[in-house]
Amino acid sequence: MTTINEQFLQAHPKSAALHKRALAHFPNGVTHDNRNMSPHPLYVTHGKGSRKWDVDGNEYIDWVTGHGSLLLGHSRPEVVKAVQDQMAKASHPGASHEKEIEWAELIKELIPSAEKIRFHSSGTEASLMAFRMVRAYSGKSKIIKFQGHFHGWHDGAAPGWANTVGITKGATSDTIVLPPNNIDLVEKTIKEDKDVAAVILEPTGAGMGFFPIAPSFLHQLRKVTTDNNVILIFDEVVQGFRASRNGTQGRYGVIPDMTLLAKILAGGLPGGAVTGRADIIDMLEFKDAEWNKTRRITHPGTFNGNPLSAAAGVAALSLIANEPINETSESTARKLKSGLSELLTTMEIPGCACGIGSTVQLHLGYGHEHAEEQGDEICTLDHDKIRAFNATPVAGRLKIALINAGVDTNKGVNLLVQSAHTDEDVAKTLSAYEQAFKELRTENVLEF
Amino acid sequence: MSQIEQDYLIKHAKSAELYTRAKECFPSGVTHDIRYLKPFPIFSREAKGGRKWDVDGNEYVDFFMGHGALLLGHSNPNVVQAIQNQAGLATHSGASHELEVEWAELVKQLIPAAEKVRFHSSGTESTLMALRLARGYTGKNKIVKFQSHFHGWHDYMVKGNATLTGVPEGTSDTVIVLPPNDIDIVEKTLKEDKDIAAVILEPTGANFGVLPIFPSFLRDLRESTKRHEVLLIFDEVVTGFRISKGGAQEKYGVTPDMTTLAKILAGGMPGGASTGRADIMDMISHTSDAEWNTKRRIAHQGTFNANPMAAAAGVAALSQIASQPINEKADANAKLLKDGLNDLFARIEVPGCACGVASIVEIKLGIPCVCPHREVCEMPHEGIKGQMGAAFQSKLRLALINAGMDTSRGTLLMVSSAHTKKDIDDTIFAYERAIAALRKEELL
Repeated sequence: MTTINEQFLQAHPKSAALHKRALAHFPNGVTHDNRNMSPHPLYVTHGKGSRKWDVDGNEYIDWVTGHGSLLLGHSRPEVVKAVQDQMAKASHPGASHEKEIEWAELIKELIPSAEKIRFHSSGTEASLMAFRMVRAYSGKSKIIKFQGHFHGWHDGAAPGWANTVGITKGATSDTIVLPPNNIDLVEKTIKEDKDVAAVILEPTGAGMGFFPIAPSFLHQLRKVTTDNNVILIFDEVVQGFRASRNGTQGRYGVIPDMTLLAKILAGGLPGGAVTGRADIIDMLEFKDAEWNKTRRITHPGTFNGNPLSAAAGVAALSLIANEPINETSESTARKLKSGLSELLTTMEIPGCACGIGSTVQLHLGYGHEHAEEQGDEICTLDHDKIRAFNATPVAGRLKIALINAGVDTNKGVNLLVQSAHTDEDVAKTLSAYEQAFKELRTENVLEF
Repeated sequence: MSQIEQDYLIKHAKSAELYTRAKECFPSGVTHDIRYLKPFPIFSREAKGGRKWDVDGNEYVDFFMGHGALLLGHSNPNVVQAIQNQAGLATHSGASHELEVEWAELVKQLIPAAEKVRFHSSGTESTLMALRLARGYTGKNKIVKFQSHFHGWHDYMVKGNATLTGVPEGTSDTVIVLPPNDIDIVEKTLKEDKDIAAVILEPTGANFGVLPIFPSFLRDLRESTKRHEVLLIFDEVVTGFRISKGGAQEKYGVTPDMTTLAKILAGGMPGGASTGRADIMDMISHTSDAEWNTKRRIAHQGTFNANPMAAAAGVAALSQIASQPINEKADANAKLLKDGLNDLFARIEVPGCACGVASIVEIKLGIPCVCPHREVCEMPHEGIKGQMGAAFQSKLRLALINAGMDTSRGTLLMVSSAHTKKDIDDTIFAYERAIAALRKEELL
């Protein structure tokens, strides 16, 4: 019988050949850390709806969905047309344009905290600007973030997410990393250190919600930050327009002072935005000469609000605003979650499938009951236990086994649902998991 | 209200309306600092070749050229087709793809320093990563940059460019700002401070070359950094693929250890790249050593790194630059434009000149120029900086827009291969009319 790795290698000779070429050009031959995989990554040619195809002609049900930027599915006709039409007009007119206003107006309509906006090229840039704005606005230096939370790869956001090689002490000493879901610790830290400008978090938790934040923690954070005059930033790069069309803040009714957006925001094209209270965003406003020279934050950025990203963003966000995109994806996610949970039970694999909105997380290795009020949305399993999965041999192999079975996921355990996913996609995905689990068992790696 | 302002208001009723809406959305109603203009900026509708049109139907010869991103001009047919095709295939495949490999191969073919590449979403991201790679690789903390040189808007590179409001002290403390073109100061600094990881600069100078770097300084820098085992980074976001196909490093024959790219790189789409010596770039590489991966390796996500749309546009643009006389055409257009403008300034007796390297043209008004061959100017930078007040510059832009021509600050022109003889003639005439309008208001 062929092993999981052998099957993979047999099915992907052209991807292997491209990777060989790529190794000469890129570190590890990839352009994003997540694509570094053994034996080699997939090279994809195109996508449509819920499916994508690789250079060897293999078809996949895609749950990576542009790292979460494609809530509407691949090549959604309205978005494709918007990009093509805009391209016929201009990619960069070096001037203001109407689409950037329409784009901003849709954000203000959908995201409760959005009073004013600055567009960026990425989520990393949006977070970088937010760090600077809160410091300039408050005159304070420090930012509290939570263990494992990702706020872009810029230097100040690295502590608690990755190592700080190559980052100056000054850039990291102003970042305080706390464990999530512990409001007492946050309150104590803010009370004792009067130099805290802001608290930032991924409001559904680290790893696209893989390490959940309790909604009650969001309410507590809002109260503690308001009471202590500290700015609260929601990094909704992943969950903006996804946890609900109004983001996590809309879903739970907790309105932060600032919000970071990217991914879905730009309809699958590069783009990001920092948004929030007008008085904070207006640190970028031109005023009198003295202000402009000594207080104002300067911010060029060749591709800020560029017309192609704006056109794709307007097309995507207006569909999200007017059609049951979130409802459809969430309903598909529920079917996927219950199907996966059933499969785990049937196959006697300890674990559960859970997740908020259209995000599905698979936690393997620990059997447990969910708290009743949180249903299949938020897993209350201890974060250390969730993390323990990464050290198991299953972690590296599940993604490959699923690819062999025609399904692409984030590491096999994180699935981002789009409105384009169908019941058939769910059924086929469940069969693929069954097959993958069986093969992992045969190779003796599915042992907890 | 002045005549220039009145004319502007009359011609741009729809832009004014849109600006009212924009002010509700954006600080000062704009999405980029440089678009801020009193009484309001123009709102563009479409662009083609060397021209663009605004929402009021006014036509402009455009020398903004996507802030320098569009060396091939607006809507280059191959680039348009590449983007339209790719949009129908996939905007983000959540996987590797062939175009990113082709794109990197073109970068390596064109840019001498490029051994390995990491793609980013912007030039700002590219320099952020380059500085981190330099510090990570050397184990040293400090970076030397030069007064007024722009390397993106992230915290480290604000010093020497803009106010430090909101930048933590510990971050800006690690950046040393030196005056450009003075190798003795660089040499002294590198000799005395052993904690310097890298020297970064815009190889043709600050502000798109308005405050020039002398080519001899590049050679001196290369020599001095090598001797002191300090990395040399060329920020070629502006100059890459423009000053020559291989950037400033090819034109002047000085190969840095690292190079940052954006603008032309991605054919008008958002994109950037840090590139350079493989041993430095491999700070991002996973190895079989778990200890390295967790403790020493630099982690780098980025949803839109090398996304297929930017890659498609980049490949379409760079393959034309590699195989056709794009730079030659753009440079020849720039020469025509400089000659025409210099004739005009002489004829109407305005002190100043049009100069600049390759396809960048910059105009100096009100000062005597010392710019051999109308390329690199040799006057002191202080004199160049102080030449025109902000109020004059803003009026000049309005007057030029009124005359059917749009460009950054009214004085910085990014020339493309798509500009025609007529575009250049119309531009020279636009300057004549604008200068006449400014004279009428006694601003010149």
